[in-house]
Amino acid sequence: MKTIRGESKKYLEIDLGKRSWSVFSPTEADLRDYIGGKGLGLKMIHDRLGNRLGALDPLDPDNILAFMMGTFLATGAPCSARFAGVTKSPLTGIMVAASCGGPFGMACKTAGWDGVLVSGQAAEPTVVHIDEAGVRFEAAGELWSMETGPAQSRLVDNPRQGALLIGPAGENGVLYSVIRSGHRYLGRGGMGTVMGAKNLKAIVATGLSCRIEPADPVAFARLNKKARTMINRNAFVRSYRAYGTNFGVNPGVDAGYAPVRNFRDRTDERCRNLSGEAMAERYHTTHAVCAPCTVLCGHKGTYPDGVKRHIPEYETIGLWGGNLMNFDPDIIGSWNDRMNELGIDTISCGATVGWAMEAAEKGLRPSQLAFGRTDNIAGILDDIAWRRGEGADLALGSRRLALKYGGLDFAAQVKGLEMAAYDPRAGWGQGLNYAVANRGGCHLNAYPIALEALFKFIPQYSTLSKASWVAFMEDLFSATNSTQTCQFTIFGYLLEPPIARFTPKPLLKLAMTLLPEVAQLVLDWSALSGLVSAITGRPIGMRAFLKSGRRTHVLERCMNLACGITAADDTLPRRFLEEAITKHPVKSVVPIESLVKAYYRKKGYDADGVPTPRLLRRLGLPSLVLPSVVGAAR
Amino acid sequence: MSMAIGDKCIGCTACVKACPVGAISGEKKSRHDIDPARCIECGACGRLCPTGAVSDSQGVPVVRLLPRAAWAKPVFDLRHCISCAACADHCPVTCLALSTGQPGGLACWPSQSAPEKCVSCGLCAFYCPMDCIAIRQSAGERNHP
Repeated sequence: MKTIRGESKKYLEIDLGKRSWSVFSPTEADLRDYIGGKGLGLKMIHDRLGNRLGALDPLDPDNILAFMMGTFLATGAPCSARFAGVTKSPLTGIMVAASCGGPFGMACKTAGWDGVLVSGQAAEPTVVHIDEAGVRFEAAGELWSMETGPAQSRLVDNPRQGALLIGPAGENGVLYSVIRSGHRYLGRGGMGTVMGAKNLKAIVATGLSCRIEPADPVAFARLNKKARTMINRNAFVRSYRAYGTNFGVNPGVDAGYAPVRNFRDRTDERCRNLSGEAMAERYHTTHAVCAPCTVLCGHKGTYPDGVKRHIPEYETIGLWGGNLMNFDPDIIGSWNDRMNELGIDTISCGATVGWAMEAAEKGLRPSQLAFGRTDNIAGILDDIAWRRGEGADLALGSRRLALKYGGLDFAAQVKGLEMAAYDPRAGWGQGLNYAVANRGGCHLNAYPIALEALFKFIPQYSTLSKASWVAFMEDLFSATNSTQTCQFTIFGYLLEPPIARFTPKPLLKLAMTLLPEVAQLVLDWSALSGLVSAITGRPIGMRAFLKSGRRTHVLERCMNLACGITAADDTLPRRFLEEAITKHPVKSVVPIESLVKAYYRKKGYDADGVPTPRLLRRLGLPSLVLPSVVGAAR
Repeated sequence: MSMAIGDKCIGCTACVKACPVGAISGEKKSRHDIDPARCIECGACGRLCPTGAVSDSQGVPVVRLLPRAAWAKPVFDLRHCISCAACADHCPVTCLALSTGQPGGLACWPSQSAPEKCVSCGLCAFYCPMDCIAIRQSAGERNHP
């Protein structure tokens, strides 16, 4: 078996229109500056589309869909099953990057390819096969219009293979359709729609023909052991391991971040029926993970109807539970399965259905949907995927619907991407995170709600230190998404080294609230950056690692500015800025203007949210398509 | 990369029956073929071949050394196991089982429920995130003639 040291540095470029493929290698400078994964994917799209990016229709054949394997994958590092997808989103019209832990990544990287860039549009529905020898094109035939589960069983029939595929939603242009791999998904921003527009049903990789070995095996073994110990010891990881992401349900009811009645109430005691603890007991859950994984947040269990199902993630539970006034976990399990089969993003769809229920209540748009009514939801899901009846409308997402019928104030979206199941009024940092996140209402941009409501390191209802933590965490998460390891491991890397672990918690809280920059200086994520160095053989310190994350984040911001984003888009729906009274005892609205202003300062943007020339010079980005970007934004 | 069958093949079908992923095809008494896209290079075909017709991806013939019961098997070091179940999920011959209910300990842990089915492919060790699994012969069997 061939051995690859760290990375093969070989990327496939597939043109579906011409049915041709070629191999290219990125420059050493790009690999050093962007690491891999999301960062390198954005840079490659930027270099290829250049000035055309702004005006490009995301469903145009010229749009590029990049699947990037990152550095950790297949090396045996903690949570090294993840890969990234990057493209211009049809839902938001700006860049979107997503992370997935399915078997495609392992198969593609061990076939010797560090990434795949797909462009063009096939003349007929196509399946692309990748192996170490290259690329084959096959007609999709009857696989087209097949649901994801049966199609995947047909495409993958041995342990060496991994597939990426779309369901009917992606084929029919539902703007928030997903790409599936195994039982994991590239979920947000409608990547499946881009794949469908390219007439690409699936990419199947056949791997396990190369062994990936770190460039420095001794340092790797030492750091890997250290990293595993830290991740295993971390309380956040242990909670997720026991109850999955639904561990967050009960704290949400207490802290008031639970989405209830289309984000009107913030809390409802009945949501506790849907908690990870309750479901672990009800369904006798066991793990179902993206292997190899060290966190183990994925769970499966046996439902009362005898069917073994994957337990829905927290976001699905939140948006299809309390958000629609439904407190029955069994029915959410079956809807979750249905959406996975059809290839629908459960977050965007849940928030859109929530908006439609409130719009019907307010008489803005006639609908059969109503809070608390569950009998018609399964039918609606099929209608959305096949774009029939009311489903044709709902397939557009909440922003387009709100612009059509009115009701933008209560559409839970930012920049067109629906929010995840955290009410921003319960953590002003989370509000800022939603407002400024590059891909829209994304909870994983910086995830400050963990610091605010789960660990309670920084106060929920205060602007103190929020801009600093959001700016810091999004740089760190951007770098993490470039290595493509799991974001949930970050709290292990950050909080388990001795300095954070042995500092008394009140002192840590005080430092993180009043002196966030000092706290950030003493935090230590050298194990994570050390692993990158050991794998690639390119030394990168923890500050350079953070700077690489900032470079990726600013590059994405610049690309979004080119796509037409302005400072006016960095805000929240009016519900979260004006409606202070909810069922939760604490009255709160997010003071978004002052938070965004402080964030721009921290980040090095000017008052219009445009990165300053000084920042671009410091990050080595002056050669971007920026002259046109800055011109357009002013 | 995959195993390959050479001219010595007599078409006995022993390898066809042993292949855990159904990668070998061929009629009885005619030379068999391995589908390189399916082969996981476990080497079971080579270790069973009565004529030594199978060679590995480097072209080195696989020698029939031991009876099947003495093939290398996964050995579990449960001190670091985190109950992720990745080993059992990826086993192509489902020879691993997950036991549950150890009081105060792991939620579940792997063991070999059907050692006679194991083909020493090593996929369980490959997917183990904690390096708890080693593929080796047990001490007694190592001295087998």
